[in-house]
Amino acid sequence: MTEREAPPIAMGATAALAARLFRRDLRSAPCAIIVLAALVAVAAITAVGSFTDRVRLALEAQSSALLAADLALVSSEPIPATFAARATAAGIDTTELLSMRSVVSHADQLQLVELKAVTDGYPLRGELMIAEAMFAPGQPARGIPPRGEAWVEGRLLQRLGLAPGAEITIGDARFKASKLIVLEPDRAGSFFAIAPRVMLNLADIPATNLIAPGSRVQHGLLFAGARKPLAALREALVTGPHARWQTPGDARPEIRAAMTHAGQFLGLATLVATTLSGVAILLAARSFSRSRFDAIALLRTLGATRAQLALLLIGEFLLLGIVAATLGTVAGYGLQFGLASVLEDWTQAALPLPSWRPAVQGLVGGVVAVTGFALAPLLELRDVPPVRILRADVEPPRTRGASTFLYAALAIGLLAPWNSGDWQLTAWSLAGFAATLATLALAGSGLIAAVAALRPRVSVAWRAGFANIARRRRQSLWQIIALGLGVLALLLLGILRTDLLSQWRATLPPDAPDQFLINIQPDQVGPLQDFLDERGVTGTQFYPMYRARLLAIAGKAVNPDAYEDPRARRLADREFNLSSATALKDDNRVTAGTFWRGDAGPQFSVEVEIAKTLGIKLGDSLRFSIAEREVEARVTSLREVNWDTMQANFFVVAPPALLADQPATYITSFKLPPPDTALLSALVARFPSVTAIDVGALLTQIRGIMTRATGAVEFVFMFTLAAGLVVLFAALQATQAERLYDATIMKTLGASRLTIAQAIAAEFTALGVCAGLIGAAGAWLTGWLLATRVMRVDYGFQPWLFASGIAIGVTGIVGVGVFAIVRALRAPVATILRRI
Amino acid sequence: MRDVILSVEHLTMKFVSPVGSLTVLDDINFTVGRRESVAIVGASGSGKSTLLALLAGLEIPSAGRCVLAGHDLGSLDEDGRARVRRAHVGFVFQQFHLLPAFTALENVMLPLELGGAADARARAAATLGEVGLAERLTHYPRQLSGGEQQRVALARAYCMRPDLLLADEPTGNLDERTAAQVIDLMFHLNRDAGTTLVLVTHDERLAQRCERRIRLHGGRLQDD
Repeated sequence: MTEREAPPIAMGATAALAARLFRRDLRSAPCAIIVLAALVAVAAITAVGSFTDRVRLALEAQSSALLAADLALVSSEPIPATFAARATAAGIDTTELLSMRSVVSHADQLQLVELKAVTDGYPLRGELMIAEAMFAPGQPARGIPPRGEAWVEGRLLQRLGLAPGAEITIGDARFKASKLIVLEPDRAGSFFAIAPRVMLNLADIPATNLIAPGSRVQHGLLFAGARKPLAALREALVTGPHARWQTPGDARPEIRAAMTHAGQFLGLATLVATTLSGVAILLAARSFSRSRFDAIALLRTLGATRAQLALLLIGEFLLLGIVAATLGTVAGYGLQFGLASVLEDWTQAALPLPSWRPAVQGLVGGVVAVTGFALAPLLELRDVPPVRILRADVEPPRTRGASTFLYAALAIGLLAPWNSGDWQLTAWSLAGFAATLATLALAGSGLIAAVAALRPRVSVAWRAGFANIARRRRQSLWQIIALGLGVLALLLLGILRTDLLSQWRATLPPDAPDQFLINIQPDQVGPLQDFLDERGVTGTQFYPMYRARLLAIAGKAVNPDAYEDPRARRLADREFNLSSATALKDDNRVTAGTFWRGDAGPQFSVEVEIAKTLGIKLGDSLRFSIAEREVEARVTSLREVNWDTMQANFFVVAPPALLADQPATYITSFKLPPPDTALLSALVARFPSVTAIDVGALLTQIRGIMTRATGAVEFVFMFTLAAGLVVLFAALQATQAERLYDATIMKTLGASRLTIAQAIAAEFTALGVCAGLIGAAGAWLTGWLLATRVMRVDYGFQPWLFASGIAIGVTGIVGVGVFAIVRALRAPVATILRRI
Repeated sequence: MRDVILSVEHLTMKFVSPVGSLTVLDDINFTVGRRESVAIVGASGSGKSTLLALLAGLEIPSAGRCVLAGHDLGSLDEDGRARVRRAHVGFVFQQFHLLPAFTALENVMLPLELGGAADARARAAATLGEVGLAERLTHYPRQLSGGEQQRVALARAYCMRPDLLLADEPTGNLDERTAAQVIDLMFHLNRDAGTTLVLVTHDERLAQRCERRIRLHGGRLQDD
């Protein structure tokens, strides 16, 4: 007689069984929690995904405004007319530009200007703001300067002592200076250009006779249109060595920093929501696993193999993930329309509906989250010994914590960068989470040992509570970890909302300077300071500014053409503004080397980004020419500059002694008490050679981004809050049956409901205090890491954090937990005993 | 005639479910005197355990009343019934129902502490000694055998010197030899403490050791 072999695994039958189990289990508490948690995670991923899609588009629209186009081609040679024709054929709008330095004359006065000639359609993106009178608020321009008219920057008229409407001469032609330019979208990158702007109609240029062979003219062609055709056009157009492309990425640093921060906040909030949901899934899956020991033991007794069980369970959870992910995607899609209202009036451009990508992200994310976080507890079920069917106390070997974390980390690793799109932020946040997890586990074990030791010394209710913590050691640990993570996430979001965001916004405080004064002669500094003080503008700082040209880096002559990066070429080609200082400014941070104190020997400190662009390293010597003289010194420090602050900052700084005998002008900035345009008029009248630059419009733009980002983060915060609640619920649900059992026995023995509530409250209070404390410490640490390493804002000790952590931990768990138990205890004891 | 500790009058218990109502106990009347030992016997589903639950105030009858040590259980709220149990009743269950988080000593201390006894620890330790578990004070239920667990449960019940001990199939989960030891111990304690014993069982030998048997059949009382 041959031994009967086990039949091979029938996939179809297993799938059918998985589907049947799924239908039945869907109604159980752990599965409901898993679906709920996955739903929150997927809704967060989808809504935030769709939303960030739209935010990105809105931000791109804003940065396009800073280029006045979606793409620009600039060239020292005329741009072939065929380029514009091809663009038009591809459905892309274009407009032509021409810019050059020239001289404006009036009577016998001459003034150097930055001339710009534009054609209809300019600007393709953003708005040109013009005004009728000096220092009047700007209005959007309709169209471009008509033939025969020039739109000019107010400071040109200041310098020439003219009023709007005056006649000026440019080359061979005369123009009426009809309007004042308040904000020119694509001028943002060069506020401190020494010469004021004059804008003409391109059709007037021939009459000026300014363009002759050899004139340094920059031709520009602006493009605006859909992304794909633009990219295709850029590929297709063959440009010579004189031409270079500009993209919205070349926006000014203040705006770039604001946008990056906005993206980081959103990404972090999603990451926290996803991770928390994962924790809830993990907890619920553990609870599910425990509740299935008997059923699985029975299946094993009936001959199910471990492989079959794995297939069965993974199949069931895949179904669970798909259902949750589908529901979550639908919910997320619905919710992101709510988010879209946050965007309204931010960008005038109508945003396209979110693409299919966030939906797919949500679906895949949901399945990854459910299977990733649930895998370890599920696989544990394969090892339930069949003998359990006879002996209820036999349990499968314990899952190693390592595999649980491995699968969970894998799931987060898969999801996180995809969601946040920022590796550095993800890495730091996960590091914070991991450190907290380890601390939670350690401190949790400590607490459990401590309460175990306290047991003989406390009253019966407290002893019952403490005994439960000690007995359910693993579960208690899990609860501390889960609750601690929940507290951490909530506090972290709290820090983000109240602290980091306000820190960030504080870098641009309400009194951030909106006026810059340049071209201040050394002998004007004192009088100008007095003038401002008299009018209540106090605390102004004056910085010397030396116009210099970079000649050599580390002994090698600088050749602009040798740089591949167009930005580097531009920087090497133009004049630098050097400054001197005796100490590091508050919004600067040394990243390498040391900054001097007081008046030190010859040396330079260079802004880190420009150092990177130009290939300057710490220790290199730099040679500059300043007004025909040369200055050489070594770079002793690299600095990071917080451009968000809108303070005057310089790429290269030296100790005063090095530049002492060089010709300098001064720069200062201040906040104009609104709407005190009279102050500016008086200032210009008193100091005619000083140039005032108004950056108020730019400030408004940056504040707009900050406000929207804050609103968006608050919206995403809702998901995190929901995820935190699910975690708490999952942690409580996991031990609800055992608690109910204990409470019932106590009740049978004559304990009042008050005593029972006290016992549970004692247990929860101890758990809550520990989790709250550690969660708060973790949140503080993560917040500190994020603040100092990623966002570069100040961050101090937060006593409120720890108080809130304990408060959230205790009230959350005690409130929900005690309520649930006491309510359950209303049922007669016999009924509960029968149920157990 | 001995004092009456427990009096059951027209006790009726109906369970209403969507498919109809089921009468588990139907107009039950009996009294139990102090120090008496009574066995409630009957086939499975005859309503024995439900009757025991009603006697302890663990459940509220659909009709009739149950007076325990002078307290009409039906007129008390949950906490009131808990107080009566604390003052007068000890329990032994088939599943032992020890608190798994508590050591043997702590399990026995629990009712003493709930009653506000100052010397709970000493009394609990002494009672555990009486049931032969002096060496097991710091053991947890999972570290004890079934018989030992039931002895802890007995100690927990007797340490209060209750007026009434209610036992629900106390030997149902034990092998014959262990069951015999537990029964001996229970009757011994009953005598020593002067406790009234009401136990539910389908074990005829156990029932025969009681002074009186109350037979339940289809929810109604049959005289022995």
